[in-house]
Amino acid sequence: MNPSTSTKIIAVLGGVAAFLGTAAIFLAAIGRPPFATLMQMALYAFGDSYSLSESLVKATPILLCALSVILPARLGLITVGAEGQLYFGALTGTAVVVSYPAAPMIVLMPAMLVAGAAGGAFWSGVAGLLRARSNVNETISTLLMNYVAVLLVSYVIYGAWKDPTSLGWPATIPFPKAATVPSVFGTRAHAGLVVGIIAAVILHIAVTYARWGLALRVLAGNRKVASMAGFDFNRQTLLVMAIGGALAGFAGICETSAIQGRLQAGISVGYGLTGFLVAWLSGQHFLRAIPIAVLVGGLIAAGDALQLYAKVPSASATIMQGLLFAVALGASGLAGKRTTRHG
Amino acid sequence: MAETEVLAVAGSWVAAMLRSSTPLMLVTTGETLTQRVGIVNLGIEGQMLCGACVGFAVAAQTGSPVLGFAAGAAAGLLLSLVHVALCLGCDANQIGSGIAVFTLGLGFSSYFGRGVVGGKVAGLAPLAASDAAGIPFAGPILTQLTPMAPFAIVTVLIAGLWLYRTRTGLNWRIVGESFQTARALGIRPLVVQAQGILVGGLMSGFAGAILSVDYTKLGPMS
Amino acid sequence: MVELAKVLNLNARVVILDEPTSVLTPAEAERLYGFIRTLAAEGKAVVLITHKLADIAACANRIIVMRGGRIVDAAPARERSPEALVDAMVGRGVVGSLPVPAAPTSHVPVLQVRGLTAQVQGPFVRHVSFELAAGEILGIAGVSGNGQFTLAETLAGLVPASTGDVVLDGVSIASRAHDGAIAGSVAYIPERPLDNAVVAELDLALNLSLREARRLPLFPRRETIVRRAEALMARYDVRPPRPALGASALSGGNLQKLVIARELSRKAKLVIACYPAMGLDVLAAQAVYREMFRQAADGACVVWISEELDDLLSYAHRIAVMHDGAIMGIVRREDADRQVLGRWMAGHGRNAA
Repeated sequence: MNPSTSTKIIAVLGGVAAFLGTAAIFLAAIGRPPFATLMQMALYAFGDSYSLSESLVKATPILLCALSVILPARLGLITVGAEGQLYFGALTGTAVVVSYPAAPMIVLMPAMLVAGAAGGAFWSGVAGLLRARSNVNETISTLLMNYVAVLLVSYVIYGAWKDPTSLGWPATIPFPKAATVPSVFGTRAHAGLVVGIIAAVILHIAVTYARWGLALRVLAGNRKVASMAGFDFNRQTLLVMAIGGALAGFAGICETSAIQGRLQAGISVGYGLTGFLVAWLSGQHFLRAIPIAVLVGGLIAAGDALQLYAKVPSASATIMQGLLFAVALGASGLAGKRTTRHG
Repeated sequence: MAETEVLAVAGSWVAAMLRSSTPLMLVTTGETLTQRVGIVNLGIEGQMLCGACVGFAVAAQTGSPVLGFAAGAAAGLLLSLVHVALCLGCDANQIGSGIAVFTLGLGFSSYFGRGVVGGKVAGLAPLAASDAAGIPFAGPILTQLTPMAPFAIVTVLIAGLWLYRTRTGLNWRIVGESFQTARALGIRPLVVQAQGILVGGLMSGFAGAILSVDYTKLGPMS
Repeated sequence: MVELAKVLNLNARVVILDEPTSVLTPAEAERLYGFIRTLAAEGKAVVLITHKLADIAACANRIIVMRGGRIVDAAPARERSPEALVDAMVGRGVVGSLPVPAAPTSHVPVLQVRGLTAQVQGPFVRHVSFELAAGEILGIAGVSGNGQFTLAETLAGLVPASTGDVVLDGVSIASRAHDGAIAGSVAYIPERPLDNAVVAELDLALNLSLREARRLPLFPRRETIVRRAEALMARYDVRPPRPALGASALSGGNLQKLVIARELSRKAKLVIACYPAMGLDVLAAQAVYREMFRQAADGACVVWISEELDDLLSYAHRIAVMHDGAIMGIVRREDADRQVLGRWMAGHGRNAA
């Protein structure tokens, strides 16, 4: 049963209030003045142009990862593999740069980006294939493949691609200028932000208005009826997983190139998981993911600033994300319960 | 001569296998019980991390590894309460709730773990004194394993026996197979599901504590 | 019967039975009636929920009729005739019966099913073979759960056949890929339309367009779909006639009419109806049958799976019985004997048609 609009609004407002409440309790528990700290965090997130820039830096991979979760969700697939796809895309994109570091930008940049997207698409496609062919639950397979991808990246940065001049710090050579994704809007955020916004718009239009969107909706609703209509679940599974993976892989290589400057540990601070959270908060809606990604990006940036200036470990941001997610799930679950018809 | 070497290597290998699988056995048993009542809890990693963190802190503070285990189990249990509240209380999606629990566990253990790193903890005494190390095959096993290893194995066996041979075990299985049938039979499925989730939380926290207190003795490794 | 045994074991004082005879053979149903009367004699209260007048005639002391969630009639059993009951159930005047479909004019087989075997994690079909001429209605009886649903799905192409073939008008359809040409000439009306024939989350307009979905333009125009839906809903009396409503907002009867509108509004060569009237009141069921018979009159082969032996005996040209995934026998309506059919349903005796 779909909750009515007023129930939804109450759920959202209630959720926001509950989140602020639990966050305040947490802050009080760690000995910080709750509301003052929350206000401070809001300033750290959006208070001035520097803060905004930092928030956008965080928001970009989050948005791309969120999109990579939302598209399969439209088919009814639940994927938590954005983190792994991000890492694997970083890996494949870096492979291009490490192999041809002297290539001119006109060749190197697109090759690197395409390789990154293709890597993510592949990593996600494997899970999609397992689901299509052998009905392997995609949530579990993508969850587990995350660990594999992260370890693969560790493997290469400690081993074959380790830059001998980096004095013991495991990382590849710094990316040449030709392979560095430019920043946009005068902030530190890279062009992936623009790609993410455009992708969100395109996907929204395609899924809402095109025949393809109808196919996804029918397949998600009732597989047998969909085959009566001539839609193919296996084909669509591979397609949505691959496109989603491509977005996350693209995020991975952009982070490596623009923000980190080289492939090293920590290219993602849980962006994949945060992307999952944002996808859920946006109700699996492409356009809504944009502002929500910016807000959550702000939360994480504020957490970093809090660690820098107030000596509060940045893990506080992770805790708050968890609280936000839990509260959102609780609110929407309760809203659904109130409107369930019996009989 | 070569024979004793082979036995020694085999013994060490079995010892290593049992040591690293002890926490895994416990957390898997816990999640299996949870899934047998029909709930998927993807937050077990978060629960383990919390158990490892709290368990280590308490063990370092009190000097007692057993208290550490208990504290870790309690931490896992508390975190799994979130899953109970969301899935059973608010009818939330199980996958989402599991990821939320995972995130919270990750966050809490990262946050509080910072202060605990570097502490020292005495693990449990091994099964046999170190002069037994010379016994072929069993030597390395007995000297490197603590009572936790056989405890884990026994736990798995007991859990299996309980699930399949007792009345309450049957009730749990009925709830997992068909919520409605259980209700029609007079079992209270929500209560059973809550119990299943909490038991899973207890065991993952316990397993986490074993990992940090007994296995690595090094503190949380987030 | 296992369920009923469980009931015995529980020493209950009140026994509630919900549509118990839908999965029983006629002989088993008789035993059930005896069982119910015994329970009553022992002092237990029995609430029997059923839509079959035979059940009521055999057991009831008092009758309550419910319609639309309310009790519309309550009386001792002897004060109500079957017609009065039907009246109360349906709420209108006497329901007439449908004209019996004319026998097929030609005997050239149009549908040939040969050695069909299929399996879906449980329910299954084993070496089913039969042939139908154009305009012929084959009724398939049997206790539900003996492979009827799987047979319907296999004929409709939703479940792949392990062995054997289904040939419609010279073209094999059992192992087809999703070929638009074939999809157009097969109509499938399954039981429980909300679960099996529509997408509950979509609105009625989209559900009505599903058969043409692959031929829609890349960016389909909403107005075209809605207009088509409005026309269909008017023609087939689907209520409420609002194309933007979600499919889950319709009652079972109206939903089935919607499915009919989608499946039978074009001329089909093969109509597969699997418990099409299940859960529908008498009038809605008749609406469904009327459309099926009209397709038959136009030359379609109709495979009609039903649990209402009476309906099959009244209207089908030939009747087959399925048990344990196989066809026990096929007889012409004129030659059908209830006892023999009942024995086949229980799995006794094997005769070739």
